[in-house]
Amino acid sequence: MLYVYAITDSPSAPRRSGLQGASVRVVGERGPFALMSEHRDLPPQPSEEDLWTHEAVVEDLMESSTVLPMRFGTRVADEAGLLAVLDERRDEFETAIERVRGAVELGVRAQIRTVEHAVTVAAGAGPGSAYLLERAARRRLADDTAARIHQPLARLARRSAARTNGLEPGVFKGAYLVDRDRVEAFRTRVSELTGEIDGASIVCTGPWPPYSFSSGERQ
Amino acid sequence: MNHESVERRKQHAAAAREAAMERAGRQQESAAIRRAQDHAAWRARRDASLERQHAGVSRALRDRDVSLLDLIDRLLDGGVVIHGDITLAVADVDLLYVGLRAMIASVETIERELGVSLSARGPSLKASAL
Amino acid sequence: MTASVHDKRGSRSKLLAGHPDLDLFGDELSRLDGALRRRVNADRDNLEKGLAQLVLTLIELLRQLMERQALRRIDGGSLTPDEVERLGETFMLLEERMDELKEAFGLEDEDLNLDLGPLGQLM
Repeated sequence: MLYVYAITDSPSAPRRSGLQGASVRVVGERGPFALMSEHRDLPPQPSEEDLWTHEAVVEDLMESSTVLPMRFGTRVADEAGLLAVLDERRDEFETAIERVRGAVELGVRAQIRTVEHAVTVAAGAGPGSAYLLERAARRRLADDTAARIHQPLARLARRSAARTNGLEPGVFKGAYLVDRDRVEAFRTRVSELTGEIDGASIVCTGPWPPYSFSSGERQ
Repeated sequence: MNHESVERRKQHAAAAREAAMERAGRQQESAAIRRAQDHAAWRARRDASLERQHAGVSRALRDRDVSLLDLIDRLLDGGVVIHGDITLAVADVDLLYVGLRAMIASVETIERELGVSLSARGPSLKASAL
Repeated sequence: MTASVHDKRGSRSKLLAGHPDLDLFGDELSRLDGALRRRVNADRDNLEKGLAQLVLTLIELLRQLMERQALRRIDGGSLTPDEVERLGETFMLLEERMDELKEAFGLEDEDLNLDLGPLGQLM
């Protein structure tokens, strides 16, 4: 079986070896190409080591070409099958490659604490009403804070996908497709926001291959 | 019926009504005070619990943990998906089914132990649980 | 200055900005601990805790859905003050009961989430 790491626009193979130390090869006739390694069998449960190995292969490739990273665990039976997929979905892959060319993905995570903020509710409300009204006010505060984090960062990105958890309003996660030469400005802005916004823990990770912007269905 | 007794009866009724309203008023007031006290006590307990949860959690948080978390998010939930002959998803879904089957088999036990009613009309808490 | 993807700090740290602190992970700490091991623990000893975890997770999901619904109706003005009060008291009691059950089973907030593998997390 073949384990697939990424779809790419260049036929050059990375220097790194892949899972189980297997060598990584490029498959494809005229583009787009697929990066894979051959295995007899692979354990159904990945180790942390495996995840980082997969990531290292993709990042290595990203140094020199545009990549669409695969979801972890993608396997196909043989080269013929892989070529068929490349052929069937050529348009989708080429569109996606152009969409992410020259950019990296940056991830932003924030935990918004509203517990510390005093929230006023109407005087004379019974404890039950007070409880619910307070929850509503906190939810609104969390949403406003999430917007204060997301909007300035979205402006620095080519594309963005932000998720506030509808059920847990204090949790914010955003993925941003940022031009390579804007990464520094983005990083600076995140640092500024950590100071500007009270009651939120914000971190930024990256640069990542564009996991959140590669899939044809999700765009 | 003579006029005087009607009057007296009216006065009695009025007095009784007033006394009843006063009693109800006092009851209402003390119920409100009780609720407010309960509420304050409940808040204190909840805040203490939150405090414990936030302060007591001792996980080693390093750059590496955030990085790993974001990596997992991306590798397992993102990226291009190819429906090949063999996918990793199989193992996950099987295990989820195992969990659900085990749960369904023990519904009665769960209902009894946790005081939850999982009826077809929708889950609800049994009065006794509260 | 362009960003090189090769990380100088060593391959396992991708932190760019900010300081990770206790609050940051919230419910996803379980993903770190258990991501690469399975969530539903069929081991005999842990069966009870595993079941409690499942059921409480579902109750928590329902609670959050119901709360969201209630808040929407409050915003929409379709509830009388009495109804709001009664609803609120019920939610308060439910939260208290949930806290007791969590404590009894040794579960933390982060445990009440289901990792649905390729479908992401339940909540």
